[in-house]
Amino acid sequence: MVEVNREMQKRNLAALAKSPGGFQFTKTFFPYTSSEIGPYYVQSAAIMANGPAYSVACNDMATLVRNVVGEGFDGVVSGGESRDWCFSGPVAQLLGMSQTMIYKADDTGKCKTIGADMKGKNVIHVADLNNEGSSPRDMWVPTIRGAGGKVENVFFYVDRLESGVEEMKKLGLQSHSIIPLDAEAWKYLQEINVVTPEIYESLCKRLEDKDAWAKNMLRSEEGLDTLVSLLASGKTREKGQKILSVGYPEVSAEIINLLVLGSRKNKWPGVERWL
Amino acid sequence: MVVVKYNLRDAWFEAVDKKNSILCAGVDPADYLMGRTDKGAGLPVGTNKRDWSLSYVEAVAPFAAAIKPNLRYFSRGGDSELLDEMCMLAHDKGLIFIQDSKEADIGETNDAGIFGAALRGAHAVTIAPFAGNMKEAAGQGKDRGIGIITMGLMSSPDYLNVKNMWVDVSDDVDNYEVNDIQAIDGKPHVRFYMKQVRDANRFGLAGIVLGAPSSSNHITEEEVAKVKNYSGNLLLKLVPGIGKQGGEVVMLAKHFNKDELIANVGRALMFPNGAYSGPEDWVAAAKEYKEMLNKLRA
Repeated sequence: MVEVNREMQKRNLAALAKSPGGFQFTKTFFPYTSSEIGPYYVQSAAIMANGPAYSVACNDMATLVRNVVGEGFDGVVSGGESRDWCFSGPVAQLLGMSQTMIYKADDTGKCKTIGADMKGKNVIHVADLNNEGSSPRDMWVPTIRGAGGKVENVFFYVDRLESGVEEMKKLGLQSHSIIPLDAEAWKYLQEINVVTPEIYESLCKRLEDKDAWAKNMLRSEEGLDTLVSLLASGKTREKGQKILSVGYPEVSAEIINLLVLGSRKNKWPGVERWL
Repeated sequence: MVVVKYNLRDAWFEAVDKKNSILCAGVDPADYLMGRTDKGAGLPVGTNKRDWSLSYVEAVAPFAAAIKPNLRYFSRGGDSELLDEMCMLAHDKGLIFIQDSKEADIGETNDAGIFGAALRGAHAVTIAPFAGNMKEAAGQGKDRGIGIITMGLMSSPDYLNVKNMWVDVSDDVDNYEVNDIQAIDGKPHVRFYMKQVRDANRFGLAGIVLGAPSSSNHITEEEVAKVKNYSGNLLLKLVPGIGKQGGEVVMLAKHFNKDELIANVGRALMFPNGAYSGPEDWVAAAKEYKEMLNKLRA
């Protein structure tokens, strides 16, 4: 991985933070699709709401690609359905490269592609967000390699620095990003008053040990309140239940006990029916 | 959407079986300041409502399957916390807790009331779907995991005109008897109470409030038969206003499975010997009502 370009990181962070829905922060937690929890949501594609900022983002992505693979790189840009395409198409166009759009797996379990033939070609994959790495692992990379393409580098607009980092290594990929959500990123968002000192502290603690942060959050009054609010509605109940059963099964009994003890103190008397 | 697998009907039958009773104790302690004490229908001056309410529930618990606090009587100071305590006590005593709040709002505001009852731990909450939003409330109840009991056929004098209003049933006409339908402006209409009961059944509510017929009110046996016809096989019937002889329940028992009747007794159980009734009076009254109702069940 090339060294993070801090100027690119900062200007894109600031732009994404200004884009509606780009970042959401909470003093408690959000449930993630992994069933883990964290204090923020990020939506890379939100940058498209601001034309000039989107243009800068795509240009920076193209610059990053060029810096990594070199001027003379001859290959194909790939992007997976559908948010990767927000960046893969513009990057391919800016670099004068052909593109392959990869669709999600259909009923047969295979991913259809449209665009350039990848057989025998060097392929760089361009994506909006590195999260858990499940889409590259399960769909995009197998499709590229199955089609005879050679892929060694993957470029993300935002890298949450979660389990997707390790997944990319397992796939034998060099991973690069414009906005790695590291300590510098959170520090900068505090400096420009996007996050409060309280939330900044929470983000930093999570960076140190996200598992310990999550378990302490679930044990706290605010965390329990948030969990109850998820459990209370059918629309979010499954997310709340999975936080306990999938995200943090080792503390599930402890948290349920806290909820029940809470109910005996007349705080959440009805919560047991939602567990 | 994950719907809680909670069924008031099952919980009610379990409580009935455990307590061998269909008695529901109304909890409607009128504040002294309301001026009812002299009529033997309100708390004496200086009474601690929390202590009174919890003592009352403790006293009647062995003889009742449910308690039904009416929220109109719990709208001051720390009453919300008292309801929480009462609900937990009900759970500890194996009693069904019916929050009688007659939610009558719409949309998310109605949901706030239903949510509050569920979070409190209530098994059921009453609604008065004035805006015609029974289906919406039913969905909210399923979502929150709490039984919904709607106003059905009420015995209050003013309901005489309401129950007989003609209402359009174009979207469900096949489920009404031909003799009950009247065409108005070319559209099929039935009496309001019939639609209330049919809709409660149609939308999967847990129960209806069914006034007990008596010589002193307007409910007729024919109407009770219609309620039987349109209520299907799953609705519980919350029956308020049962007197000491239980004559009202006798007629209902002719039409319904007796264990489906949630027989609510309020004032006669709270103040059997006037405003100063205490635990011994409550025990005696609850025992008497339980035995009277069980004779009907036999």
